[in-house]
Amino acid sequence: METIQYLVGGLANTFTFQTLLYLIIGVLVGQIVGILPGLGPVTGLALLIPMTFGMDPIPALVMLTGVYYGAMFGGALTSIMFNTPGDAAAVVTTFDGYPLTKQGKAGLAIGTATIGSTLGGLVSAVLIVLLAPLVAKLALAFGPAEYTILIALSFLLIIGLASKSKVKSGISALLGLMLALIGQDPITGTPRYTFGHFELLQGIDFVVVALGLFAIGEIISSLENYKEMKDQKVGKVTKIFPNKQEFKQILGPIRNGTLIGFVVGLLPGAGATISSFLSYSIAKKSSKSPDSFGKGNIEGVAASESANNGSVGGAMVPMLTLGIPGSNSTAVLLGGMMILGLQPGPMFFTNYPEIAWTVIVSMFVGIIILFLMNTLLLRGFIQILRVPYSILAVSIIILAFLGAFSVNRSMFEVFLMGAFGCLGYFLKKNDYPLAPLVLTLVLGGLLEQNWRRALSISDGSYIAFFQSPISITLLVIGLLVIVIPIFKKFSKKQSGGKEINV
Amino acid sequence: MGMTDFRSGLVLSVISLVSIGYALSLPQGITNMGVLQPGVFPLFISIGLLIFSIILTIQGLKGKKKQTEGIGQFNMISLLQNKSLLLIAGIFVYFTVVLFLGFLVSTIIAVFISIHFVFKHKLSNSLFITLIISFGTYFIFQSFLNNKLPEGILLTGIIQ
Repeated sequence: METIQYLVGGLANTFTFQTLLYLIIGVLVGQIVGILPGLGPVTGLALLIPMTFGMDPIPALVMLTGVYYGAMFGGALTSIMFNTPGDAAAVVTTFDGYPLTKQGKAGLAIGTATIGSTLGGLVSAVLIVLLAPLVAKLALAFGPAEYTILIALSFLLIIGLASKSKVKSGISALLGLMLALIGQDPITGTPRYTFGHFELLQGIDFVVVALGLFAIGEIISSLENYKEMKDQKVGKVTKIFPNKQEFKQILGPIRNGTLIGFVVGLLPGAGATISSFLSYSIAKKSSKSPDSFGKGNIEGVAASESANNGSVGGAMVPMLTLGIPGSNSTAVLLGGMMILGLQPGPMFFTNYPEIAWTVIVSMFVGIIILFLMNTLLLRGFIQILRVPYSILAVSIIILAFLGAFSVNRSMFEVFLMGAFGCLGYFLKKNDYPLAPLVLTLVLGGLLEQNWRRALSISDGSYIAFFQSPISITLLVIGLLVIVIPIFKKFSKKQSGGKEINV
Repeated sequence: MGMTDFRSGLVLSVISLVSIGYALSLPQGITNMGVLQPGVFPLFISIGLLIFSIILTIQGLKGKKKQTEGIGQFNMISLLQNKSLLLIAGIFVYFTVVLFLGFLVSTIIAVFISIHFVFKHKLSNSLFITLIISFGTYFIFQSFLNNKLPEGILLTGIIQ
């Protein structure tokens, strides 16, 4: 009953002129950054966060969340039309989306992707409504010790799941933690890693790092593929919606994909990319015509798109209820929330029920707006693909400059952003995943604070971390996260290098 | 990746050693009140980074042997990298010019140079794009978002 009241309140808030306007702006910007090759939700969020300075938290957060799921929708378009995924999550959509384009069925692929994304997004929003309050209630039992272990566990998961090289993931995470330390120590006031620069006493602003890594870094790396992007031609789009038989065919992959997406999205570090791969492989195994996968099967498109949109809801649950983001997009979103003066976590639903429920309800409305946009304005969006990448790159650099300058109205932040752009380029070029860095940067301060608080409560005794059942459960999970890959590697060696499924 | 990993491993090892030295200069241990001193967490992280950097260096060293082929590819990559380095240099030059000429004038110059000379658009198109991007962003931020943009040391008071 209480939930229904909150939902009604959220609906009323969403349908105010200001919130609705910013919701439309958010999903539109998200859709556009998703469409544009090389850009994804993170770049869109990083560019839009500076615009929210001084804004009312509800429309600001509704807009930022809209960018996140809007970009997931838009990502399919370039994957299908150009074989160029907007971000990693849309890679799987290229497997069957692009072959369909080559067969002259781009419209059908886009229509399937839109239906998959819409249903995936809507069902995962329903699952947030059902699950988030329960997780928030459970999270109220978390003290500083449990929080410290939970954050450390999320770091372990993101290192373990995010990349090919765990060493590089670890380095990326530790670099993020180091960056989080810059500034005055919150308890004693001792300056750390400021090297005499008073500008660094307040720490490095998250927006500066996000803009550097994801906007500037992205543009520098994408310049290497400039010729490919320049040579792309936009094909014709005809029939958009699948017929009755095709619709029946895609319902199964959409249902499975949405659930897989949501569950995988709950795990830190897994998110949209892993869920879309998993959903695709399950769709292929359960299909009547598995051989046609990779050659232009709409089931493949539906499976991938429903999973990556389903993962949005999954990733939102730990972010809103525990303050733990599951991906780099939610990490940037969390950073944006902190800038707005909001602290997601167990108390978020208690302290800010109006904001929490408005954001959730706005997701339903936003997804419906995106569905309408993608069906009614599809030809307009396709025109965006004709914008030369050169203009886009120059505009993004200028917007990033303005965003970094807006933080403190100082050129120091602008140069710092440039330096982070170089770091982002270097890391990307050498296969270092950026997600661990962003996650640890956002949560590093919280980890240290909770660690110190836990020790302070127990008079400096580390026994505090082994006292409660929650701590012990989390520690056991952490131990399994470390031990299972070692066991798997050992078993693989024992079996002469053959793959063993554990 | 072998050689690159080896080099990055070495650089990161040096960074972590410097960081360990710095962390040790901060107060360490736990106070009588049970409060963790500000140097403890940085020390943990720096030691962690050192361990990972050493592993990366060793992995890079192992991978070096496999890098005998593909020298031609290396040249190609380094050529592309130069293009990126040029862009990085260009970005920093633009930021520096803003300090002297302010946002509007520097942006007009930077956008025109990039669009016309680097990306080879026609003169008329370049002029049109330059004006739209420069004035568009200037008015959105300065007038709509009320965000005072840098005027530049040389042009302070002239453009306002």
